[in-house]
Amino acid sequence: MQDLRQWLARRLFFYLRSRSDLDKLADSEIQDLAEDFVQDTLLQIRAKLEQFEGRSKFTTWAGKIAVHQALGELRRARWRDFSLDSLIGESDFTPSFLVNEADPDAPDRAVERAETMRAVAEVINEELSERQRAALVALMVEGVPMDVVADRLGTNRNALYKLLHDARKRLRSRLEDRGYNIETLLNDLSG
Amino acid sequence: MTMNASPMIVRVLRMLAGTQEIELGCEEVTALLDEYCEAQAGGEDLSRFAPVMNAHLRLCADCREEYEALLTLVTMDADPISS
Repeated sequence: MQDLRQWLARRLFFYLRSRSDLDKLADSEIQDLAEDFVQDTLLQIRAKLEQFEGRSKFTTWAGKIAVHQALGELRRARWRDFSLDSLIGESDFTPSFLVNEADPDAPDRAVERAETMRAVAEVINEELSERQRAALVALMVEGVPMDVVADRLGTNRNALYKLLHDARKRLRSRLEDRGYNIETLLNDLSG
Repeated sequence: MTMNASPMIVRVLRMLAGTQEIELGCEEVTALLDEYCEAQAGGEDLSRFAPVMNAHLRLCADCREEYEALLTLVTMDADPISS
């Protein structure tokens, strides 16, 4: 266990030191942080020991638990004050330029693109639940981690991924029902 | 709230383009992650994991970050005397 502790602490230290969001911390602080994470990790390893199946080296398996633990804590600390409340019920995907009167002098192509945007926004607004829309906005606009969004929704990352997977499948099939092809839409809008 | 949604709509469409009928969840990806990183670090053929692993890592930033960190850990030469 002592060897494992050292293996994890050294590597976690160098990894944490390379992260740009921690570059204000002194080496001694990063060392303390790494040791705290390793302490928590070792407790988890003891509890999960029978789950180790030998499909990788033991250190790699332990490293996976350490990374999950450390990054989970860093994400939650960094986004401690984030709230989803302002996004739930108010996340409207309608682009702001569509809210204004159409510009009569806009070229045909711009009008076409605006129409396509409006159609996609409509499907998103109509077909997704408020939770699904709020999660999408948080993840894509605010850059909030999945773990944090999951916490705020009272769920976990795995269930949130499934919620979003269902949302993506639903959107794709509804757009196809309306005669849209995703690749064509992408070409039209990003081209 | 009305936001500038045009770049967001393009991002949603990119996600839809990468959407598969059946995808691995985060727990399934985490279960495979040590084996996957070790295979990658050892230069092994990763085709037994692809494309389901890649699809998830493209769409899930948290799993991607953990994958990158673990790969860094296992490929790091951090021992003073490597054994």
